[in-house]
Amino acid sequence: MNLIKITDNIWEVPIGYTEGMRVPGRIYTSEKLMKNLEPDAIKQNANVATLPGILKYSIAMPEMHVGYGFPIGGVAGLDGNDGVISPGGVGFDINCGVRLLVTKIPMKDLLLKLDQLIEDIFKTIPSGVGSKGRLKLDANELKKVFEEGARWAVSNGYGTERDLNFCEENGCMKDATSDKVSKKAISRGLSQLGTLGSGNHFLEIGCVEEIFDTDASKVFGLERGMTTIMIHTGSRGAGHQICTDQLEVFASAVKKYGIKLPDKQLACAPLGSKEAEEYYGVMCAAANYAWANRQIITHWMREVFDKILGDNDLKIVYDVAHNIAKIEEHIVDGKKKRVIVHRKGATRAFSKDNEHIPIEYRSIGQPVLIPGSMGTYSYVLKGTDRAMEETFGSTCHGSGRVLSRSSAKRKYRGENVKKELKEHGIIAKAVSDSVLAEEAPLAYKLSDDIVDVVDSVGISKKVAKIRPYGVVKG
Amino acid sequence: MYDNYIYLDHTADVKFKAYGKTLEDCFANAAKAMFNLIVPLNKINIELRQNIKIKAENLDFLLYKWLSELLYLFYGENKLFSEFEISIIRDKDGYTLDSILYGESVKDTHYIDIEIKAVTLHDLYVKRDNNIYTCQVVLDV
Repeated sequence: MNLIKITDNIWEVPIGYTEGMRVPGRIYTSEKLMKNLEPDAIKQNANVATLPGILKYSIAMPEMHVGYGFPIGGVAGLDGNDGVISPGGVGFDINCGVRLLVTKIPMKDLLLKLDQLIEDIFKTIPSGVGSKGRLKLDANELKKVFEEGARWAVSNGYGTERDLNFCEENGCMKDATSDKVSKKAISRGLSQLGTLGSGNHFLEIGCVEEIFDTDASKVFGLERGMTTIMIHTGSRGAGHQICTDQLEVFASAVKKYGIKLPDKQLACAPLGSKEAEEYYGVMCAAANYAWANRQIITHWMREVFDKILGDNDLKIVYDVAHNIAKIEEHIVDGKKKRVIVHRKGATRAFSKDNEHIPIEYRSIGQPVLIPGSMGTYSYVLKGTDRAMEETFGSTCHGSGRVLSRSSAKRKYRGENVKKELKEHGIIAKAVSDSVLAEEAPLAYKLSDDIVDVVDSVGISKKVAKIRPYGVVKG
Repeated sequence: MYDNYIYLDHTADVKFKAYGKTLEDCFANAAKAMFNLIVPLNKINIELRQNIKIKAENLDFLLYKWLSELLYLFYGENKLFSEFEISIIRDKDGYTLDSILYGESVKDTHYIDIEIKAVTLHDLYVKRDNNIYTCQVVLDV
């Protein structure tokens, strides 16, 4: 069965593409990106459309590629009264997300010390597989992290009150239930708070190179030539274990509630059920852990800037979640509805006047942060009314792989990747060269192509473009 | 003849198949396929042993829980394993896997190349074809 073109850059996956679809699929993509679209990813988009209570469409963003259960780049809004919640719609790395900081120091002044800065960031912020944090916590303190999120970090001296104001959810989801977090998740969480992790996670120093929207960039505090810092990490082992624990519970729930699914990884439970309530509570706990993690890293980043450049005034532009499920209100068929929005590799893109975004940004819409792959441009966009109408206030999240990690390692050598980046004026530092090969820029779709699609459709609009200068990979 | 396990290409994740003449061999090979990604098996010495028991309603979940538990022992208890003695018994409630794991604690000399976030249920199966047990697993990395 073929996809149906609705209009430029919007395609429909018709009902019947896979058995049991309740709504059509809707893919935002360009003719160019379609060439790399995997049939299995379309199948996954269609599978999501079979979830009970799914509203409007099963949505996929232009970076869409095969995930497990949901495709990466997937968004689904499920009826808040008789829909379901699915851990597969959030993924293992709960609240993997991005935080953007900005400093008044112009990149031209910083360049001379960039090497030193990257070295010091690498030394200060633990990264790499199974990296252990510098914090010494006990299980009771960790429970507070699960309950309070970024606020825990600020209360313990890692950052300021202002920081909280510029995080999605103010860095804390109130429905977290730390008492339901398993001992295993606590054990994994204890040693990893304040660590970057590995794989696609990174810390990047960049520079605002182009402004597309003068008013919005002014409100977001971005000026051409300014230095930016991007932090990309999530809930580490705590989140991975919480999702692992819950998948087993949900497999039984599927049976108990007689839900038919095309893929085990889509296991779900009706909202209001014991299983759904418990999952939502521990997912919020993991999300809070991730916000605390990015907050602690922010603090250490400020310390490094202070030490090397004598300036610790790094302001948070915003902090967004890329993997999360949230209870929100949206207009569906002209009526206000409670919707549980799953964003799996997608970003919230709330428009202006929304009470859930910082007051300072309400004349513009929320900042949307789209990291590029290593060595490519990142973007700041703004949320729009069109996103509220079409995509439950959601847009794309990043570049999305085109090559598997092993293919990338076969094709590229870490040392060459490093050399090529250097020739382009980008310093890359990683625990191992193989990470640099896995994360080679060409292993990903171009962030420019992804962002152009969402901008042209209007589910978010370009505000500024950031060129990378230095990157630390785990 | 067949390999004990093979790795397949998957865009975002790692996928493998493991084989065995018995269900026990198949599960042991799946565990080896996973640990071999973390540290080459020949770099894992046998210095400790540990028993674990897993129960599940069906074979798919038995495999999922088995590998998830092993992954937890790596992250939560810093242990690596390379040899597995397994027995799997079927009863009215499903399956029980009893195992002795052989390996060592993670040391500075172990170079760990990949961060496996979790075992997924995506495309996971255990089946028997021509007297060979095969399982397939996708790991989130």
